[in-house]
Amino acid sequence: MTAILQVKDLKVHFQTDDGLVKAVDGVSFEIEAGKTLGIVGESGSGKSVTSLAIMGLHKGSRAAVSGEILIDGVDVNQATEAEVNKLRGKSMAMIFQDSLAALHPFFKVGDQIAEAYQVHNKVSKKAAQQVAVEMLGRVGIPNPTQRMEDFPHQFSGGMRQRVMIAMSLSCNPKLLIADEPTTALDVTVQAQILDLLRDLQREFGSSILMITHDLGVVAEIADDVLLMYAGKAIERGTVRELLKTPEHPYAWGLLTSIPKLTGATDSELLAIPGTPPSLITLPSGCSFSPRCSYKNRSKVDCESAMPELAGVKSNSSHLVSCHLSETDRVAIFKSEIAPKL
Amino acid sequence: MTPLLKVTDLTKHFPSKNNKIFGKREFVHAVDNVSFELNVGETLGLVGESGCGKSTTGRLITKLIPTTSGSIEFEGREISKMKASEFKELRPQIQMIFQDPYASLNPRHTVGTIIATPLKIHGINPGVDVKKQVQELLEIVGLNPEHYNRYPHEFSGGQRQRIGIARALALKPKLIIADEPVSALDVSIQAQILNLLQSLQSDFNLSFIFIAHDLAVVKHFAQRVAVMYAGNIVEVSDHVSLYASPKHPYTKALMSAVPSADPDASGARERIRLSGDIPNPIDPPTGCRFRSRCWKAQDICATKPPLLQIGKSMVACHFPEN
Ligand SMILES: Nc1ncnc2c1ncn2[C@@H]1O[C@H](COP(=O)(O)OP(=O)(O)OP(=O)(O)O)[C@@H](O)[C@H]1O
Ligand SMILES: Nc1ncnc2c1ncn2[C@@H]1O[C@H](COP(=O)(O)OP(=O)(O)OP(=O)(O)O)[C@@H](O)[C@H]1O
Ligand code: SF4
Ligand SMILES: [Mg+2]
Ligand SMILES: [Mg+2]
Repeated sequence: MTAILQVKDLKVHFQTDDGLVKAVDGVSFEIEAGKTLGIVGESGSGKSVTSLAIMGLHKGSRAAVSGEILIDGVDVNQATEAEVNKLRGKSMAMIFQDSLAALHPFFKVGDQIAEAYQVHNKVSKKAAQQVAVEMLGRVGIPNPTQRMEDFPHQFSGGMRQRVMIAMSLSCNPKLLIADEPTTALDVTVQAQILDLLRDLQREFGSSILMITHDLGVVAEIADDVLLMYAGKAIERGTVRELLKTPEHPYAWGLLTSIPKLTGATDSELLAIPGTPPSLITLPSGCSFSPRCSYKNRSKVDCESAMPELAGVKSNSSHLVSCHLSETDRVAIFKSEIAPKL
Repeated sequence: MTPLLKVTDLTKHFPSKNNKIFGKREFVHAVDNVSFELNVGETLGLVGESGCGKSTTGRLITKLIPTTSGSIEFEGREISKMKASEFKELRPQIQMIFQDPYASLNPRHTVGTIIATPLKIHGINPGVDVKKQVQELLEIVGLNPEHYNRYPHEFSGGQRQRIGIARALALKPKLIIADEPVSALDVSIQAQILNLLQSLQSDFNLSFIFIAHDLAVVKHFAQRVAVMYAGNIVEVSDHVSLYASPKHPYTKALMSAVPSADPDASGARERIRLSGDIPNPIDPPTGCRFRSRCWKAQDICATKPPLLQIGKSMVACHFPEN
């Protein structure tokens, strides 16, 4: 299989008055054609910053970006703004996390979709407007012809999110980066959008990079999952591996924090104790160690060094960054985590 | 006992552009005849289709936008027609956590300033060091003191959402309208924030209107849940019955679409796919607004559905599930 996107040792650092923020610190992954990679992780762990780097959107900001981002044979980090611009639209498109901030407040919704389409397709304004109406209909906006004339503030949160989705899907990109595309949507519209993404994939063989906190969405759409914590990838594997036999203590914490839809309601939710680390002064050793309830079971001092992201079993695609031995992890998961799920 | 909040026949029609052919003024029927009560210390969940009027309901109650008709009573006082000067003393008591954290934070102010401003305007705890109060609030919502001097664009989506929560908590309100307060958070921080809101609720008898799309979160956090569809409330139920036995067909469809984090469960579930026309809010269907997509609809559904009490649920439907 050919990878549509290869990210190698990506680092994105921001200089601030309080010190250097290491938002992304050595992340590597690839996505094959037609596949979906889900990125999940702690809030503030560098997911959006990673995706902005892929789109080349840190250029001209004070972010220091290093590493390789290969898409369509072009290294986004080395390329000029003009070269990256050529990739946007057809090769890659992005659904931004903040749809209100990404839409222009003074232009009609319909014109914004049509213009985005015209940037990458040589068609008349009228034809582009037609595409816009059709796309709005496909993302479930009622009465699309009339709503084309509205301004973003006249749309609800979820409708704006769908406008963003319509815009980025209109060019059938080879790689779609979707940053929390369905957070503002109810589950029926969400299901409809996930169907639409699957259609895109089937029809055009597109790849999707899906950033989401919703592990249900991950289970529905992702083939592989990358788990991030404090700027680093700490676990990677197939969707089954991550959701059914996760190996990292942070992954265990996530799965046990989900409130349940069926059965009695717990009085309090299980949460991982402590707060996410400062990205300026990271804890020594494993960045999760200050919050980890299992570090005392490790034979290696967890505060000595950051564990490498390494194969769970030899030759496996399932990678984890944790000092616990594999036997210990399997035993802990079986006896202490699985019963809570 | 007077409820903390009593909403009766609340209605909001936004003017839309003029109809080209007849030059007639048209309106988006965002919220139509919505009624409910909220007791002190209670949480009412508000769920429903994207665009059905949840945020608008919240903005009406916080008086960010004027009502078209209907009444809003807060502690027995009618507030919907109150003048700004009169409402000023009540404003700190009714706070909103906004759905769009980025748009609701002033990009030119540091987070420290953003959270301190309401504290200064309303003179809460005068004499106590404002910076210290703000840093405590930041810590409560899981942010670092180093975040104090940063600007909104320097935060992640979930961090911004927590700034909005800290700002709403700053004034120690009685009622918080929380519009998707945890949607941008990972499930572990979400659990921390929900536990925090719950303990604040029991310590201070806080009341919440909790708008969210994650139905498991709503079930966990709310005691009662109202389901909205196209500007109307179609069902109100206690949190357990709503999930165990939804009565309105729309509620049933909603429950069937919840994705599961278990890859083995996804295929097993029967999802109800809604087909048919999505109602146009400018010209909503007569009678039951769900009828254009409802698999049970009959001719009679074009007339106003009766409000039925079934078990612990109130449902507006001609053919409720049993
Ligand atoms: N311009 C900036 N200056 C300084 N720090 C920044 C800047 N932009 C982002 N950060 C920091 O970088 C980290 C990563 O941010 P990012 O937006 O990638 O998080 P995320 O994983 O997408 O989180 P969420 O799930 O909350 O959206 C955060 O801790 C954030 O505060
Ligand atoms: N200022 C406005 N002018 C015109 N129409 C508006 C305005 N604000 C909201 N609307 C319309 O009112 C309806 C209800 O919007 P609202 O934001 O309350 O939905 P919501 O239930 O919060 O949806 P979501 O879950 O997507 O956030 C939508 O059709 C929306 O387009
Ligand atoms: S390396 Fe140690 S501290 Fe880090 S997750 Fe594994 S056990 Fe916990
Ligand atoms: Mg993000
Ligand atoms: Mg809303």
